[in-house]
Amino acid sequence: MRPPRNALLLVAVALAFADSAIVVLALPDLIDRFDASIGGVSWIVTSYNLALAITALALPPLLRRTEPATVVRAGAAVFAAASLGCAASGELWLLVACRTVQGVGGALLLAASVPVLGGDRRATTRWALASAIGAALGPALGGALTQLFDWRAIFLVQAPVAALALAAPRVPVAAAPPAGASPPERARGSRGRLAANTALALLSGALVGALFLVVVLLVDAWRYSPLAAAAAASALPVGTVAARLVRRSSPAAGAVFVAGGLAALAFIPGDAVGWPVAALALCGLGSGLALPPLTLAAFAGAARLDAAAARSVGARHVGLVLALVAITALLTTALDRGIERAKLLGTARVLDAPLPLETKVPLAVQLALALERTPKGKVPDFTPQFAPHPEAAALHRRLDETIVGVITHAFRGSFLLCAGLALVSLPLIGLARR
Amino acid sequence: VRLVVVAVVTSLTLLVVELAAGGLHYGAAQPPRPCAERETVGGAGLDPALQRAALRVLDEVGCRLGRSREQLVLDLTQRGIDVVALARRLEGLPSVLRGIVERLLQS
Repeated sequence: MRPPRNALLLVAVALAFADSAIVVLALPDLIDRFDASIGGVSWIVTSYNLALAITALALPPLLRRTEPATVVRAGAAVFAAASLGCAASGELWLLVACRTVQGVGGALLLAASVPVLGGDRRATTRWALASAIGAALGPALGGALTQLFDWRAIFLVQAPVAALALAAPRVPVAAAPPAGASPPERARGSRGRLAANTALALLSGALVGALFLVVVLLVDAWRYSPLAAAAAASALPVGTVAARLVRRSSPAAGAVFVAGGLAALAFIPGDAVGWPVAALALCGLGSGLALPPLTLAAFAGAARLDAAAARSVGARHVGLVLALVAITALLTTALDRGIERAKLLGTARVLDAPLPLETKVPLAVQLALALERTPKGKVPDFTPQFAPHPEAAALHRRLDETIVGVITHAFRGSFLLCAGLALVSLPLIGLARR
Repeated sequence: VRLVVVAVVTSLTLLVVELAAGGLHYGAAQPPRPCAERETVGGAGLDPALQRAALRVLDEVGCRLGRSREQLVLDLTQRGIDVVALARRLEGLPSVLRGIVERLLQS
């Protein structure tokens, strides 16, 4: 009976990791539904990750006294109930509150699931792999559910999946085996685990570029539908799964792939979807190569697996939250500047357009009005203004190209910051593997 | 080590392909500077001539104020001068002017 139960638990683990970024593609819908600002709805993402990080880091004392399966069941129950609460939320504050509770449940589920899965190297490897694939799958899964059904479907689907973990088999507290069977692994000590967790935090921060920024770029700047953006973002989990084909373990190569993919996102030469897909595939491959062995290194030689898992989960989500905060500030400033530049370049395109005054003057009036109506931080869509002027199709195309190009360029600094985080993890990976 | 080399080479290849396709300058165009020599609307006839005159006025006024013609237009809007309303009033002007000139030419 245990293997199927373990498989169900692994699905729940992947889901709790996927939840970090699962609502990203639903954010435009959520802005409309709650009539909220981008800053307001971003708390739907931040609250989950912050609650998960804080709870995971505070968990080890509790885990010493409680049977792991009980903690997993409690976590799954809290997660499932909070998911239903999210789906039923009619107010933004209530959704943020439910997401916070969901994060608390997620931390309980993730930390205690490693000993429940068996605690041997095979179990920790599977847990680490589920965490990497789950995290990569989040945006695509959320985008597909939003487009096919509704943003509430994201949370409705989660409740039964999380409930699968309620069938977690019992493992007595004393029976929780130490991680890593081999003596050299146990000898690595806390310095190696600290280095591994710090590298995990940096890589999780770096992956904010692949999990969040690309999606915002595709939906807000390139005006992709959630389903189309989800299809493009699926290159990330595909890359992560493809990393399993590489027999050798190399977190350093993984970090280089992640940095390379993010740098490639910073220098996209046009709005063809192939560019972000290729870059995301590299990021996915990198996360598949780096995260599982680093997670194992974060467990190696630990006296208690659940405490090691809690610290590892906490470190990853602390890295993610800090990177989210830094990148949001950087991107907001860059976008504000970019939109000002796009306004000037767009005005130049209109003034210089080879169109008769009879077309140009009324069109300019409509464009100026549309620009006034566009909320701060949003990219204007001039399609309705150009509809009655087929003779101005070339101007429409040039105007769109200019705006999309300038906004894409505004993301460059944020992608480069993420690439830098991945590169900074390299020396720590060296320490963790020593 | 071999896998790290593969990662470096793969990443650099994608980057080089992107840069060769114009990735460095994509979206990096800067708005025109004030007082810079500008290409203007081409073509013969009254309409292009009117546009050239209007753009020249904008350029000269903007240059004195240290602004480009685009900054000037956006400034006027932001400072409460209703450029939209003004432009709306002028919407019929091109056809009126064209009518006057055509009548003059016919006569």
